Amino acid sequence: MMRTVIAWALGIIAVVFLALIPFVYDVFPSFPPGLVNEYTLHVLIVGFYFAMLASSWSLLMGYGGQFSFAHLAFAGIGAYTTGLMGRYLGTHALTGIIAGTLMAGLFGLVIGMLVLRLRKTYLALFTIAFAEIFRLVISAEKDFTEGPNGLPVEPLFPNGLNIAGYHFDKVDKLPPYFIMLALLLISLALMSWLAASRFGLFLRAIREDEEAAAALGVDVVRYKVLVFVITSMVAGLAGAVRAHYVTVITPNDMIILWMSLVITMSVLGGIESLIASAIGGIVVFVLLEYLRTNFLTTSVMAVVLTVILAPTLYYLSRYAARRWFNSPLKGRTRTFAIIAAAVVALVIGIAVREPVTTGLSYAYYDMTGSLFPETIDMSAWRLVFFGIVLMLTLRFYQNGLLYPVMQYYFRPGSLKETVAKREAAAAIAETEAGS
Amino acid sequence: MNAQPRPIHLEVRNLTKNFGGLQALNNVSFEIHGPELVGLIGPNGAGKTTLTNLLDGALTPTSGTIYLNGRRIDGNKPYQIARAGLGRTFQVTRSFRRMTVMENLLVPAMAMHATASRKELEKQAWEVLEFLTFEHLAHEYARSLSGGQQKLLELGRLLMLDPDIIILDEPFAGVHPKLMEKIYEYITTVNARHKAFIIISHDMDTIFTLSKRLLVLNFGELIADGTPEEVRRDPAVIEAYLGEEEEEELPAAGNQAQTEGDT
Repeated sequence: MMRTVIAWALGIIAVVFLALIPFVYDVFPSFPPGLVNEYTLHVLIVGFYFAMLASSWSLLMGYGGQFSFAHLAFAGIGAYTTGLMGRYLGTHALTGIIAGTLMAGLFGLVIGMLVLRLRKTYLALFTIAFAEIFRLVISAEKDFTEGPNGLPVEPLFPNGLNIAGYHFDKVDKLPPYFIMLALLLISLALMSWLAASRFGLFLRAIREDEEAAAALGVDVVRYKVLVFVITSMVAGLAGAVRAHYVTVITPNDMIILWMSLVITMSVLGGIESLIASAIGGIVVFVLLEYLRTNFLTTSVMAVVLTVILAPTLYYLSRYAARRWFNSPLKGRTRTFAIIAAAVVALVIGIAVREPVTTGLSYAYYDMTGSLFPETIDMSAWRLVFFGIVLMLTLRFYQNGLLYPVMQYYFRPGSLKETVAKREAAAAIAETEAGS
Repeated sequence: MNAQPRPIHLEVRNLTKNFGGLQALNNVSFEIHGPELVGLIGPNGAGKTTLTNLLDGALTPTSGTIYLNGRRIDGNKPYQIARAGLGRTFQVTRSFRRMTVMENLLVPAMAMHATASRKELEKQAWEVLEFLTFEHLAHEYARSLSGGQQKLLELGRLLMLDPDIIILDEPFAGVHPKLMEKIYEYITTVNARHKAFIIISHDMDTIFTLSKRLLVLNFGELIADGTPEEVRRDPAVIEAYLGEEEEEELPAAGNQAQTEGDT
């Protein structure tokens, strides 16, 4: 009970915090310097867009078990529907967004029915094919869609917006910021309600075992198609609103790389939790943007050294504990050893970053005749970083990084497999069997 | 669990199923009236599982009809047949592994009762948990249960579905004798609550003791239908089983009192 209250309180604080961010800039233009500016708001708006995609994908995949690569294509369907309608029919942004959402839902219905009999790998292949075909058609039909040059889309409020005596220009970030945040919260609330109802229960049963679910009276076809329709509509809505915010859409918004990043967001947050994957979406996108800037080679070296040293130190201490103190690391001692190893590794990494960089740079000079560059262009390396993080998460933390923490603090009792409990259950089973 | 007994009537007429050129089931007809306890036996490949899959809707028959309580169910989807009152387990245990025991039980209950509140159904689930002596496991993931417990969980899910006819596919295969006794007890208790059972088993001793009536399949044909005594003396059955491996030999008339056999 107490924990539920705390969870709600934390959620409300997070929402209030997000709602106040834009005003920090307006009220204190210089505080904190450079942290909150137009660019920050832009990053967060697009971050909310990705949060909507990641959370709806986790409803599709984490709950329904439907591994789809077509999620960004559905967002693209929403975006191009409103974009093309605005261009050729002159419709209002709101009409376009509604039409885009419905169109994405319609495509979701068709795709959902087509993939009914496809399992895991085949479903993934099918949806990749669909996503690529859609992207290529948009690229190829240059005369109609402007192709890779990008289709211009009207801003959300072409004439600006007047609220309570304030005038917001059409390029102002404040209105789209709150619209995107509101849509994220509404879609999260709606999807969470669905996930907590029988719909979510049946989806998980279908994910676990379709035949068994059907044999127990679950209308598998209906719920599989329904989850495609609902998640496609959320994606289509997000895509359509984003189109009106960025005002130019290209087929490149839908490349597989970005789809993989949506998957990364969902997996890192926690694929079985809508809220965790939404947070994962915001955090990953913000990191992606802030890692874009060039980094000093020495700072990157410090990080690399820390990452190499921390596990080394931990395993050394574990070996030492076993070898000389004759006791394996566990419980609090283990936690302490991990934290200590990380801190020591960080300190050493920072301390020796310059000599190590210089040394390596000279060795590099001897081989190639040129020194290391002063800075490292992160635009590609950041993707490598997230790729590695994704692989490590999938290998070691299949429940994601954030969701287990949320479970640990807010859902005691349920969904928890403690060693003690398993042992107790096994003991009871044994006495039952042996008595 | 149900206050006034519903009429139970399963009628299978001339059921035939071909897989390409292979005739898996040929012209099988039988009826089940009321809460019968029927054993379904036959050598490997005789068509027992095919018959189960036809009854439960996973397969559609090539020809023939199935009526459940007067309603034609062949060609219906599995979920419709489940809601119409026919539940089944699978040869391999198929619990929803990444869901808790309670959630496992709620799936069929919610599928059956679209309007009932979750609280009401959870109360019902607690009764089933009590019946299985599973209360302490309610919030464990099904995957953390032992194999035998998962088997019981499957039986519990069937109780939540509350069908008229329950088909158990190999309930005694590979289980500890103690657990076998528990499953045996489950079958007799639930049978006494006005539910018909069709039990597929290779465990001849148990099935001959447990069931009041036996159906024998061989090469897709129903070669015998009668009480265990009749079946045991049936020349066609004796021939079918003597033609097979020795371990499936019919139990002698004397040791039928034994409930636990070694499979």
